[in-house]
Amino acid sequence: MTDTSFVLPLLLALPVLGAILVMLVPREEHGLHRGIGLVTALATFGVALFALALFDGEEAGFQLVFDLEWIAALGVHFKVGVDGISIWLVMLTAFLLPIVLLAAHRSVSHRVRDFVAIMLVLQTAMIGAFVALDLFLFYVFWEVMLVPMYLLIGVWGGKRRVYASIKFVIYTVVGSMLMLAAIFYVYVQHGLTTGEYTTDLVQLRELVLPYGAQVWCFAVFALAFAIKVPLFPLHTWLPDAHVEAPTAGSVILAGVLLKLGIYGLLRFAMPLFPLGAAEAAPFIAILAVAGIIYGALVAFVQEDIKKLVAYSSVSHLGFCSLGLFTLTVQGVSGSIFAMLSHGLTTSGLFLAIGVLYERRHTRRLSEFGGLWKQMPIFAALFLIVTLGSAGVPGLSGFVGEFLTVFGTFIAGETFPAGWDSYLPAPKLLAAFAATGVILGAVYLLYMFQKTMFGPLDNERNKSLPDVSRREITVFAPLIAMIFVMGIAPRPFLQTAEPSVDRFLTMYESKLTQPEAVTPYAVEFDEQGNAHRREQPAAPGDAAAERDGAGDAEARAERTQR
Amino acid sequence: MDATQPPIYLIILLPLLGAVVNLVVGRKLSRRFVSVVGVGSVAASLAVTVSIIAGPLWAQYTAAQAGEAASPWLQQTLYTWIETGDLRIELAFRLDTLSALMALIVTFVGFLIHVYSVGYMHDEPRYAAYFGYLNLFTASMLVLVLGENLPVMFIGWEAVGLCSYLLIGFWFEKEKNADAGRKAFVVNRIGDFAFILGMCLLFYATGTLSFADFQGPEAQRNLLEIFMWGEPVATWAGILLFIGACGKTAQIPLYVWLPDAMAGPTPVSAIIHGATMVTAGVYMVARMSYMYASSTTAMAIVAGIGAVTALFSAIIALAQSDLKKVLAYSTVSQLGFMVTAVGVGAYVAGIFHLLTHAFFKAGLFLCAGSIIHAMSGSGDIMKMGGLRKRLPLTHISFLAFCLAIAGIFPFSGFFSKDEILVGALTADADGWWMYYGEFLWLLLTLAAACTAFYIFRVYFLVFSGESRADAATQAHIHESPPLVTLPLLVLAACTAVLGFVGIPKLGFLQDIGVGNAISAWLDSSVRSGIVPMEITDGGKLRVMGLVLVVAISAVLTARALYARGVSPRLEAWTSRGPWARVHKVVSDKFYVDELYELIVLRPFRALARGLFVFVDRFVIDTVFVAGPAKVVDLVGAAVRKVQNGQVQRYLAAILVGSAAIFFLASRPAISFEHEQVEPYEVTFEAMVDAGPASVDAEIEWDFLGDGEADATGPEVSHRFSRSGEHEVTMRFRDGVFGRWRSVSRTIEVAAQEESQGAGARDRGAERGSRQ
Amino acid sequence: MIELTREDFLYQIPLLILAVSGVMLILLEAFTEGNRRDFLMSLSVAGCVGALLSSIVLFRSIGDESIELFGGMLVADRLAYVLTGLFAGATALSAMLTADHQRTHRWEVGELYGLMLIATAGASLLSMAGSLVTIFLGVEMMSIAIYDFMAARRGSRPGTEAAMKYFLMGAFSSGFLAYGIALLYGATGTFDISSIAAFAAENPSDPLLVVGALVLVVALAFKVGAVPFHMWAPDTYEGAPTPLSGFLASVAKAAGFIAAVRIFAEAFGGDVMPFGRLGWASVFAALAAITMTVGNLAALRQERIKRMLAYSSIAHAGTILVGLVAVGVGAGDGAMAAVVYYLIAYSLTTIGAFGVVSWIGSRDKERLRIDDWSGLAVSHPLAALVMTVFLLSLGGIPPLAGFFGKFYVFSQAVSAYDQQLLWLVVIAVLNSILSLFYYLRVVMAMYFREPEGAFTPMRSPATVIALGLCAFFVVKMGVLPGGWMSIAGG
Repeated sequence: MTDTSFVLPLLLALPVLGAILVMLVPREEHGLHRGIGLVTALATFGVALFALALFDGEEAGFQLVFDLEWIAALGVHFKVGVDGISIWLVMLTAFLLPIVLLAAHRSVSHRVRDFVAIMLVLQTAMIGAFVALDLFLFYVFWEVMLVPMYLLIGVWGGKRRVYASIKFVIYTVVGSMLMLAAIFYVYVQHGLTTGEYTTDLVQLRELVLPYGAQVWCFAVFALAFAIKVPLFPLHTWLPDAHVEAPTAGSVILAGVLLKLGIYGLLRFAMPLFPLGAAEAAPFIAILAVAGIIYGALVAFVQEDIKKLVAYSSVSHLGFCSLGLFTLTVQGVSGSIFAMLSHGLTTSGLFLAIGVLYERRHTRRLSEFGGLWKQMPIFAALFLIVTLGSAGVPGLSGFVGEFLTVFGTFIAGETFPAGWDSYLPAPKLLAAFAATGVILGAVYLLYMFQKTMFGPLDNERNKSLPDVSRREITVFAPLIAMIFVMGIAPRPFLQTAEPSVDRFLTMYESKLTQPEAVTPYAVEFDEQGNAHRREQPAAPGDAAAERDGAGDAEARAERTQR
Repeated sequence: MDATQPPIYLIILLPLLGAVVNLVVGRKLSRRFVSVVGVGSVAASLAVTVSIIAGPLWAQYTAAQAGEAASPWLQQTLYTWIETGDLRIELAFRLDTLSALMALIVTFVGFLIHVYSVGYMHDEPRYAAYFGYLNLFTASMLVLVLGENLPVMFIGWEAVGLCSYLLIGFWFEKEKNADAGRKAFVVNRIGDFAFILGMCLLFYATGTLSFADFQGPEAQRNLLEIFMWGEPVATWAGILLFIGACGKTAQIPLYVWLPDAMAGPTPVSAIIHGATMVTAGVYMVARMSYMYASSTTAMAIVAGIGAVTALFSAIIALAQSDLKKVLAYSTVSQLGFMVTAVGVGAYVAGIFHLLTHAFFKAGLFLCAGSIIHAMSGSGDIMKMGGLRKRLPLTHISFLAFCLAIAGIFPFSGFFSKDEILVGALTADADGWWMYYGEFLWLLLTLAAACTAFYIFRVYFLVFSGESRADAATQAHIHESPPLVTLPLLVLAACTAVLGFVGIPKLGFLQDIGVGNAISAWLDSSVRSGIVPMEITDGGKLRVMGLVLVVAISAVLTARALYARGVSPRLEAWTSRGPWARVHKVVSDKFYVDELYELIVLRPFRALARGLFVFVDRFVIDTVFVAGPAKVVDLVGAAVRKVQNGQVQRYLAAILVGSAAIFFLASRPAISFEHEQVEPYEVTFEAMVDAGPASVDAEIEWDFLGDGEADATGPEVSHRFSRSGEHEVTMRFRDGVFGRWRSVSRTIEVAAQEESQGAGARDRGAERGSRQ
Repeated sequence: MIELTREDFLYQIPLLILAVSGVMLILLEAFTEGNRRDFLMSLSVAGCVGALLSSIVLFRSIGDESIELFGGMLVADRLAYVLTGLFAGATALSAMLTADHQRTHRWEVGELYGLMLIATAGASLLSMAGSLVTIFLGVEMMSIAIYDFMAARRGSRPGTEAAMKYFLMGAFSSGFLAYGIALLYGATGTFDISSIAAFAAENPSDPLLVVGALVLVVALAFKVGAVPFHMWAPDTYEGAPTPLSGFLASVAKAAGFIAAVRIFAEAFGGDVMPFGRLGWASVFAALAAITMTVGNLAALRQERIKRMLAYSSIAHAGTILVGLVAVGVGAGDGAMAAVVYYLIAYSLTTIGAFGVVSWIGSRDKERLRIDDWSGLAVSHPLAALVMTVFLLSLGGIPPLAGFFGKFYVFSQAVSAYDQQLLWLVVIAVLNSILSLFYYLRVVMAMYFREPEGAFTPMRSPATVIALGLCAFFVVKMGVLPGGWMSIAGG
């Protein structure tokens, strides 16, 4: 532990302290609530910047680690730290929150105190989930996020908020609770194998579970994360949640929460159960590509702008999932970059929809049209985020999509196991994924045209005021970052790269490592209980089921074609 | 950044700054200031371009010609744009003879059109935005042209598409214009999709995306490796990149956006959809000539598509009545010429035609703008006529452009078109079909005939005869202001003389020192001479003569038919009888848009809606999400009903529960384990949970699978007669209820003693049954 | 003849304090005038706090020893004191909440407090049981006192009915208890638990022993409200005065579990008495699975909050049974600690939840329907917040006590016995998902709906303190569970 280890705990504590402070202010003092909230969020962002400044981009391992024994008896630690991947996601979270709070100035007018407090608590939970290096701690943060988001949708949401919030909870909880069972299993296996019970991720990663267990555990972990992502066909909670959530909720949901799914796969599911991941990789990749296309197609027929953007998230997050499972440097980096970019562009889109909604209290495409004439500044801002989302080069969206597609394209060489037996052509997948480029343009420009272009024929639209100074302030940082990430993506990629490399080398080395011998025999010999089976699971079977070394060569040949 | 390098980036930066100023603060600036920024930035860019070309590049070029310097190009790397793993993309610019020529065209023609726009767009309320977009376009086009590698080129590639989108939909109040803009962007995106994949493939195969590297031996070797279906990487990458080019350069089947793109302001049509952006595909193929040269298949495809497009759209242009539509199809057709040229390896000819076309097509569009202006915004050529006197300057320049595009000596189009025709006729690469080159030549010659005919059809309908416009329009007809006509005259002058930079290489001319300047200039940048072109001076002259004759006949035919409005005989032909039907099909553009609607758009929309309604709403939400919830809910309601407050029922539940517990507890789990002790000899041990039921239990064993008990007792051993799999059954009778139960398992008996792991593997086969 | 020593009394001071103050209170009540209930309540709380403090002192001093008192009739060990402390604390909280309920709903019955203490004393007796006789004594002492005070709200018909039902079913189960004890005595010739354990280790298949144990399973399953012996619980919890429902769900339930622990874990511990693959635990495993599932399913459709909490308490009994199964298959001290931890966490949470129900229902209307809770977050944000904390803790959302309790129990269950209990844990986890729905329904009503008419609950320091304490501990046990784990024996 170094002397900089206080940074992350501070980052986690600040929003909670802010929330407590807000709750102490009398209920009517809305201005004060908002002020405290904004100041806290800005301070948190400042601390996050400080953390970024302290961060050494050349280093692959976890940095700014803070490790405190939490529950000694179970080996649970309050251990947090960041690497090149999580630091950016933390930055994204800290970056978005002040924007969201500022944006909610008009849209949230009742129960402001609760709103601000909930947002701040949510921020701690999200950052916590990104920095947690302990499985238990991660799970705690992961679940804690659920409640504020649930309230956010349920209290400040639209007409069908109850349905949407419950659906959100159903989906999320089904995934996360099953994941909990798998966490128990890993935890206990590690304890049995090494004699040390711990939930420390770094130690758990050393464990190589038997093949079957890995497949099951991965399936369960992946389910939890895939729901969050959301991977097709587990996505239907998202449009409803987005439509009903207030703007702030949508921004946080799309901007940060969905990333936790990808992040969870990257940080937990894949390193812990690489054999399972390798087995599932083709399926997940196919689902991801299906999601890219499906999300885009369905987005195109939406009448509600927010739903359209929600489905676009399904499509965009498909790129992120795909990139991850290519297991190439470019694919994984692209996935991370796409997450950051999506965090900016989709937040921008939701904020833009919020601007429209605040003025018109409707989100139906048919209600709008020709607004460019009435709101030229807004139109320009909206156009930039739309194009960023559509992946126009020079803006942030392109880099992520390009790298993901590129990573997929070259994945044939690097897919360690399972891939080629199902799919001879990652190139084909890349091609299908790349159709997202076309489809993205189709639905986004459709959306833009229906709102901004065409005749200004709706009477109620003829008196809409253009964006206010505050609203421009909300958009400005987002747009600035969309440009920065598009024009100079290298610093982002370079900071993440050592960690990505490490992730890949660890993953690959674990694929070839021998599985841990299950320790039951020893345990039960000591107890001397004749009624229990003592045989260890036969590892030979599992090994035979996987691709052997000989297959690898055959695969290499195939990819040459 | 190397300080000694000439500032290539300035060429791009200046218009970009202009765009930023005009777009961000332009609304608050005066029109004059906006014009100064808009025109000035492009003028400055032009000046920088010229000075760099005339200075450092020329020096480099002459040095290379003299064998003193290695490379006749300038390169500038700003910074590394993307870097991850071995993928490294520099934001770098390359000024060689090819890109220098393109940059000159873009800045010079762009400058003229900016000037023209000042006059033409004078009354536009969103004046600053217009100039902002136009500047942005110029900057983007320069990125495309000057990019040193494919990704940087792609930035420009997409950015020009974006500007095109914005400018086509500039008058967005009309839904049609916005639709056209979107169509352009989406169709271009289809091309870009392939372009991206092409880049992926190239990097995958060669490890580089930089233009300079493709000339190297390593990349050349990699390009020739077989990738799929027996074709090398170069073919596939060539096809993918060419699909991208098809989108941008409006080739079949992706040309459909370009005619619609005429919805934008006319100067925009001139620069983007006539002179520069649409030629990007041609430029790209020339730029990648070192790759295309590695694949005759790809070249054949490029050339074939180009030639078919050239003829097809020239035919459509014959029957259009909207001035700009004719020009649009004409553009598609001319682009087809260029694409054929680069496809047959006549890169110089293709670029040469690109150059001449940039001038005469920009000019044609600008004239069209002037004419439409004069005609109060209508572009219907059937309602024009007799404008020669009313618009003298426009007329003069228009005539020059028409002669050029029709290929009449000595206007520039004559030279460049002939080069292409000669190239096509003589092209014969390995693996091509016999007479493929000749076939291409035939298509192009027919297209050239159509070209001369349709353009003079327009000319005569607009300028000669009597005016067919209504009185109000007639009264309004006037020549455009000098800011509009001046660029026209400049362009016309250029068109008249520009052909002489590409005087055909004829033996007798070369003898007296007249060479093909453009060929010499471009030689170092494109890979010429891949396809052998052997033709004698005489052959060449015959080709030129033939096409000149064809063009002149076409012009004369047009004159005969249209010199005084549409001739009555033609009128009769096209309104009745079989020719009328043909005419209708042609004037309705072969119903291609309708076909797209039917086979692409409608299925697409139906699929999208179907997916949403069926998959999302029904399958996922109703069946898989609401379904289980409903079931749980119903079960919950049922469970709730059981509890009705009656104590009798409670007591009954207790009794049933107790009975169940007793039953459960009196049923011990049974299984057995075995171990091979000697060859064929296996010992078995029954595993029965203790409890009342196991006190007086009986155990039987059946080793032979015949149903008979072969042994009794909890621990037995048996000697099998053969090795291999045996099914062993253990039967158990419990001591309380006296029921028999059995458990069977297939075991492996080995001739040799086996390892201990045998038991575990059999576990999967274990199954219990009750008798 | 058993010789009594000073230790015999010293080590059962908490029990004595409870019993004596209980009796004193009943006597005192006879001599007090009508309106002095607060004073009685304070006294009962004082008694409980005394018992709690003495438990703490004894807990600290006893270390890991296990001391037999009264010749083995009672056993003093850490487990006993933890549970006694829990019972005393829970009773104090319940008493504080009850006073309010009595006053607002006008059923002032003073002897209630004394009876509560006597019931608690019975529960404590169970926690120290070293002999089947003590078990019987403890169960009866507790049960009879509860039958008594359940009917204390004389004017309430549902209350009376509930008490009657509880009494009927209780009598039935007492029969089972007595019969089981008799069978065991017949098999082993002793009441002493450690002697029975020794006998069982040698004759695991003795039919009389097995049948006796099964009969005891039924008896205890009734006490803890396991399906299908649970049917009294919803009616009783709903009919009883709200704070007393909390008392039932915490003290009475925990007492049933501690009796089960004393008999099964100690007399038939490990695998010495197998019926079915996991020993007696297999019966408990089946019970656990059914109990959780049925409890949760039935709770889903409840419209009345107390009934919903009753089914929730049944479901939680199932979860605790999972822990008990882990204890049964030899998971060791960890599993035991998990069960104890869960009992503490669950007791505090459920008392708190019933407490909020009682408090919100004070004054004009009882507000027992979930719909009555609409918009509470607007009118009484703090009450809504506290209730949310309790509900989320019950639902197992981190970082609250209920979550950690589940985590602890499940992790122990997974690690036990070759991980063959994984199926049970998966069922338990799936049930946790189910349970969230009905808990969230209340949250939804409180936060998402608009209030229907204003209501002002009673201002009462006792209630506020009790609820505050519950909430504080629920949060603390979730955020910093380490210390509580070591108290529980982990």
